[in-house]
Amino acid sequence: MSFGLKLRALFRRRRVERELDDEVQFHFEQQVAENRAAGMAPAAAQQAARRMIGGVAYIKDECRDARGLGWLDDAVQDLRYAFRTFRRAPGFVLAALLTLTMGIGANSTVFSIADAVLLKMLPVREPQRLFQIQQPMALTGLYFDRFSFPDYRDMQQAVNGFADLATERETFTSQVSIDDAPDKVRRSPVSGNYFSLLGVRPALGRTFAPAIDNEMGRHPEAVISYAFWKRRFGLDPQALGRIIRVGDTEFRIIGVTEPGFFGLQIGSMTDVWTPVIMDPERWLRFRGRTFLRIVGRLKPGVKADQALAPLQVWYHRNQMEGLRTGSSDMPGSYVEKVAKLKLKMVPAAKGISPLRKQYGEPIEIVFAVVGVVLILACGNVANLLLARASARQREMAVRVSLGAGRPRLVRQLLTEGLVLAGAAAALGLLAARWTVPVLVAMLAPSDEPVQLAVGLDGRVLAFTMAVSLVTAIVFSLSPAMRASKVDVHSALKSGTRLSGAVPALQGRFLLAMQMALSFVLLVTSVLFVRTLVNLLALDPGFDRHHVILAGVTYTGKESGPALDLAWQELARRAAAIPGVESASTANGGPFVGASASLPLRVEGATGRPNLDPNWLVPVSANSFRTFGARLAMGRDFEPRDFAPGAPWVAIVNETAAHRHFGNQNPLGRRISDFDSNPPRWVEVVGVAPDMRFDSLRSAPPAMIYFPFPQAAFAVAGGSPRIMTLELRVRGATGSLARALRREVAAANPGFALGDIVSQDKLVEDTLIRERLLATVGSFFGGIALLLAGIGLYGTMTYSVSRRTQEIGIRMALGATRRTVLGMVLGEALVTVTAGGVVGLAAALFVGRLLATLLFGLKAQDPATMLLAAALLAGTALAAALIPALRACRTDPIEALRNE
Amino acid sequence: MGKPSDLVQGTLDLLILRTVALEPKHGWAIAKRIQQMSSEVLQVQQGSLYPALHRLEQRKWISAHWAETETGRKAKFYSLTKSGRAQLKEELANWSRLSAAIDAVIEST
Repeated sequence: MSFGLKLRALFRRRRVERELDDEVQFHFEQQVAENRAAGMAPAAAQQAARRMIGGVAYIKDECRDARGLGWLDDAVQDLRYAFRTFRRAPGFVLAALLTLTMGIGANSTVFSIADAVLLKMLPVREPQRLFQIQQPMALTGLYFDRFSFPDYRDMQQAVNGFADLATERETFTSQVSIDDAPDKVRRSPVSGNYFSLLGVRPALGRTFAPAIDNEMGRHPEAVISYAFWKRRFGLDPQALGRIIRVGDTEFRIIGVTEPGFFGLQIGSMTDVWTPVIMDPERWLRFRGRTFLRIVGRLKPGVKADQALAPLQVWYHRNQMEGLRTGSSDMPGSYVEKVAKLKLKMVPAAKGISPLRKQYGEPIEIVFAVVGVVLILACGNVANLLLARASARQREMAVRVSLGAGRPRLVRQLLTEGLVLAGAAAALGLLAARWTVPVLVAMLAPSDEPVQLAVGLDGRVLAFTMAVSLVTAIVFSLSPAMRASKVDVHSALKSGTRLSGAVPALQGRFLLAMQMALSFVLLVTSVLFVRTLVNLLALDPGFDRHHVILAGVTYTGKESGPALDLAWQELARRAAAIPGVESASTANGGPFVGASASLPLRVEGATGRPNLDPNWLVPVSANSFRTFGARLAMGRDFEPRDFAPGAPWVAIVNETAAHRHFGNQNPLGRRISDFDSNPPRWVEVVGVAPDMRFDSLRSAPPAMIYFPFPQAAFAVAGGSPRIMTLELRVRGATGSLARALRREVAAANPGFALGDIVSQDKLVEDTLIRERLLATVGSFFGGIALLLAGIGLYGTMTYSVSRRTQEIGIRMALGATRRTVLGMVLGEALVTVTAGGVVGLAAALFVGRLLATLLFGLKAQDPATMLLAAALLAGTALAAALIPALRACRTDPIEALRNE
Repeated sequence: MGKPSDLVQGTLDLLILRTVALEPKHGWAIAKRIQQMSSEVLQVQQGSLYPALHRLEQRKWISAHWAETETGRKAKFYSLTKSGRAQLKEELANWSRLSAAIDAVIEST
């Protein structure tokens, strides 16, 4: 019989039951009639009939079984029974539900994020065949994924036959106006074949035609995402043909993509795609402008190596051509280095994700942490159930004596577990609606949030259901087995307690395991918190606390010396703002970036030149003063260095000084960028201290600072049009923004003030990973501690109540309260110590895996272990003290009277 | 469990199918009919009869409907279905094969 029929039968059970009654009744009446016909008296006839038919209930039961309704019927009965039991024990249900909801909810939350960042495939056609191409940087060997448009066209030619290539520019926030209303959208310029290559179909209208790539600047069209269509246009089909204006270009909306597609980059959602051929033509023609990512799709039956081989050939030729146009006296070693460089092909089935690289490991760790929390929660609920199992022994015994088999009892108890876990899963998913956004927000600075397509989808639902099923089995199976193993006779014989020792031992083993796991979580959270504290307290080589930065862009017509003067005027005016101690400008800076990097040559140097890159930052006067940094040697830049035609000068940092001059005095020596021929010599006039540049964790790179008007280094400097205004401030900065806006406008009408940000924020934004681990780690570390404490409290309370008589006898025999207190606490201590020792071993092992994430301390840090141990011991003591005190207040007479 | 049954397991199904093959009957009539036809040798216990009826109904070999008996009382009548008829044919064939085989064994000793 099909399941549907069974279900229908289930809901029509009343009718079926009534029919069964009628049928048996009819049989009975017939038998009575026959007996009467045989001459029996009415009463006797009835009695005889009853005897002949036998147990009516039995017949009906057999019929029900025959109908195959048995198990489903039983399940419904089990469910009803479960609910009835729960109603009688609201305290237990509340405790179990809270614990499980937290455990399951935390896992669902982390899973939905892990799924979005690490696991989920792109919603495109055959994502397994997608790949991305990366190229190495000549000097560092690190890979990056940007190419120029000419590169893209070349590679398309080169790879033809093995794969199709498309290109996209990373999604960025773009100022637009839609129907003349200004708006901000997340926009990504792409090649014409982008959508057809990915297999993303339009939900409305059409996507770009591949052929448009050959017609530069002639297709002002836009495709919008389904989510944007919904958000901005309310799914109105009239959105087609509407105009999105970007600068002077009017893009006409030609289509909407399928729902669920947000672009290739995980963590960033694209609203609008425009053809890359509408980007400025000078970008598209210049091979030096590497701003495009290249994605490809392997043709059917082609292996990745086959497609990569022709690209390698092209890349090698292209690199060598690049070298020939550079300097003539390139050392052989450098040429060799470049000749060996190779492209890399990486799978893009799960999208392109800087998030994955940055957060893959932390997310896995958080996942492990919440997994452990779930185990702890299971342990606690199992302990609760074990205690309840003893309390329910009589109930079980009654059911057994009424004919319930042991499997039936186990099933009943498992049903109760499933109901609890199921309810907790539902509550957990509900809670995830709030917890997921909180956790996602922790993945990025608040001003550039991560956009993840997370939500209650089938995968999260399936995961949660699987987790709650396993959870239910884990926490209820062992108590169920125990509870169902009842000795009917002694249980019903007014017996108060039986088989006490075994569950106590089981409970204490569980407890020790919980202590061990809590200890591990405590150690990890303390390690992460201390890592964060260490990094925050680190001296970065400058005073980061009193520096405010403001981006300033020059949009006017001036250039050269006039523009240089305007910048200096800006710094002068900013320095005069009340509360500002020092003001300077720079094209880059600590945690902002460098304007370029290049290898250097040193005048008169012998031996092999060091070709590692040096980072360049053009600065104004007073920049070091603004950052509270004192030069190690030489002088700071002076006003004369900024005059037109001033001799080229530079300040190097200590790392650069050491790299290029060893122990010699660098002052007065001359350096040039390596590629210039003849060299463009720049005199070193000072040595700056090492200031952390892009990460608090690692030492800064070799830095070269030079006056911003000077164009000594071909790749940087010379009247920049974008600078960072650096301000050292004192006291409150409430009205700073207004004053700045005024002074920026006054310095030159061509200046536009951009974002204002504190140096502290820039520095601390690099600690998001550490903050995430410290926050989530200590949150769950605390929860683990709480769970362990509750578990210990519950077990000890139960154990004490079970031993009331024993304690009564001991006290009657002369044991003092102190001995009883010591006895109970001792019992707890043994368990906690056993757990702690196991936990310590586990923590030492786990610590090794975390080593790379730590800073300023070792994973085996003794102080951390001690702190975790003290936290655990303190909690355990507090948890055990209440039942211990209750034990020593036992009144021997009361206790013995119950016997 | 020791079901009160005098019948070889499986043969009850055959007898029921055979009994309702001609016309719809209610449970009581089926039991009486089997008893009668076997000259009171086969006593069908209610504890076996009704579960068997429900099982056969579940397998769609017989179908049930409520109708009035000659005395005007409502009773549940069972009748053979199409697939029940096929099943009866098959079971009859099985039975004759089996009883022939048993006969052969008994007579040869």
